[in-house]
Amino acid sequence: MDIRQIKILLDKYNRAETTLGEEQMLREFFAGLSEIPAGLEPYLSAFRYFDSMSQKAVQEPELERKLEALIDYEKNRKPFIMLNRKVIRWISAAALVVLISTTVLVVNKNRKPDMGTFDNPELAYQEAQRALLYISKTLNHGTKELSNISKLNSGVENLKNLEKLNSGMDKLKLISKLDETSTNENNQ
Amino acid sequence: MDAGEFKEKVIPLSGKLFHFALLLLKDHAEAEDSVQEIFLKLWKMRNELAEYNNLEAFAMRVTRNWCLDRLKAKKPRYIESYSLGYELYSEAENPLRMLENTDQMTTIRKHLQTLPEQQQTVIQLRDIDGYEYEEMAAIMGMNVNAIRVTLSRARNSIREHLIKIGNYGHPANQNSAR
Amino acid sequence: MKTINSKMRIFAFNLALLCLCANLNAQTVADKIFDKYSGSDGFTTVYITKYMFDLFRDAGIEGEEDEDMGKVLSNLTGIKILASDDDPATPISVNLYQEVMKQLPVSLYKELMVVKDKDQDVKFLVREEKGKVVELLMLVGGKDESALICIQGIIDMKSIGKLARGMDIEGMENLEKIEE
Repeated sequence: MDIRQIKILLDKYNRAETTLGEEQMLREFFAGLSEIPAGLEPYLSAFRYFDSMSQKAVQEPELERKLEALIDYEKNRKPFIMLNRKVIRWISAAALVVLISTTVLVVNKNRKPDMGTFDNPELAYQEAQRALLYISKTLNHGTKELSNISKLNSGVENLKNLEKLNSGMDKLKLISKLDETSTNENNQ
Repeated sequence: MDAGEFKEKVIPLSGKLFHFALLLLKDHAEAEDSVQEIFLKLWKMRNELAEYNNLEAFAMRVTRNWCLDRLKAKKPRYIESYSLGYELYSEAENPLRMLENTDQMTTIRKHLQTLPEQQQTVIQLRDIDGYEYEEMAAIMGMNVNAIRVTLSRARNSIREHLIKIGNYGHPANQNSAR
Repeated sequence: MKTINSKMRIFAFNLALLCLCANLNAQTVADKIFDKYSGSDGFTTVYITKYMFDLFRDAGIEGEEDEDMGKVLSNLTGIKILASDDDPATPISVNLYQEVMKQLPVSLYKELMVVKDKDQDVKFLVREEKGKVVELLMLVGGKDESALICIQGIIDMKSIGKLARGMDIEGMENLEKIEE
């Protein structure tokens, strides 16, 4: 490298625009000089200084040994999982989940089973039967009507009987009719 | 990171961290104390160390921040000489030259110590330790441009000082180096 | 952002879960009207709950003779009957037939059958989900009286139809006679 190129690099160096590679070239140039070019003395001193500083041993074995001992001591002091940020994050998230699900479960469990309007399952069963039979009969009757459509008179009578059927169901006042219905059921 | 990995990856950085701490604290004992504290801190966060791309730059940054905090907390004891000396780049061929060099070294070292901390740090990190600009930015918590500006200032300062006090005997050439 | 993201995700998930639970208890129009009037003066209410249906099973009440009845009942989750009294002393201004029809989402319910005569109308509606009937409504609307019967669960329409053909109930004999 000639002086001209060196000077160009040095300008770049002064402006802190050189790469590590270019700085290395400068260092090598100045290290290998047998003769100091005019005006470049300050650089020579500086680069030589930097060289000597970087030659210093960077490893400190004594220190490393001390630190290793320190780590071993610390390691044995804490056998449990460290409460670092990550662990705390996960634990609190899990706690949140547990809290919410527990609340939901407890609230749901405490809801008393809704028994509806009956206390007695037997009565309820009978009522359920009646309701379904009523629906069934009405449905069937409706469809049967289609086939009986020619019999106009009987059609009207049918409807009348349907009315009777409706009132026969007695507006579902079950309790007062309890004896009658149970007798009826038993007779079937 | 478990203990073994920590010993493998982090402990070898102790030398660099120590010298950096030394640069900042200017006291061997304090530097060593600091490095121990810093390593304890790194140990405590060992599970998160894997997240850092450049462990060395991170450790250096921790060191710098720690040392600067420490300096703020107490008045630094200014000690004339490093208790840990440095080995000179031997140029044993020319004893006179070597002597000259020693003077030069001392001069430069002394001048560096008068510079603001940031300038001292950039010189150490770049011209001595050879970090990239990006690494320096990460260590110092500055952007790359700011790093370059600081570095440029520091280098110019060294050079101007050397020219001023150096008896190079070429007054006419003083300007050509700029 | 890492912390916020994972916690938020879990919270949002739980919130969604809660909403789901809330939705499971969603009410249909029939439910709403039933709740509105049940227990009120002038209405007769019958409500058989899922719990009660389970008791049928547990207490062994279901009749052995009637297979179809048992089959139908075993898949039901509720029977709700609301009927306005025909006591002329307390005339009701509410016509359940009309109320339900007014509020019913037409797209969800299919009309099965309508029987009209001079004094009253009867309408059957079903709601299906995934091809199965999950709600059967029977609306009866008359001049002085109206009724709503709501069957909920997995409803086997065919079996319901079969029920009447084998059974005798007071008042049914008339029908049989006519059919002959």
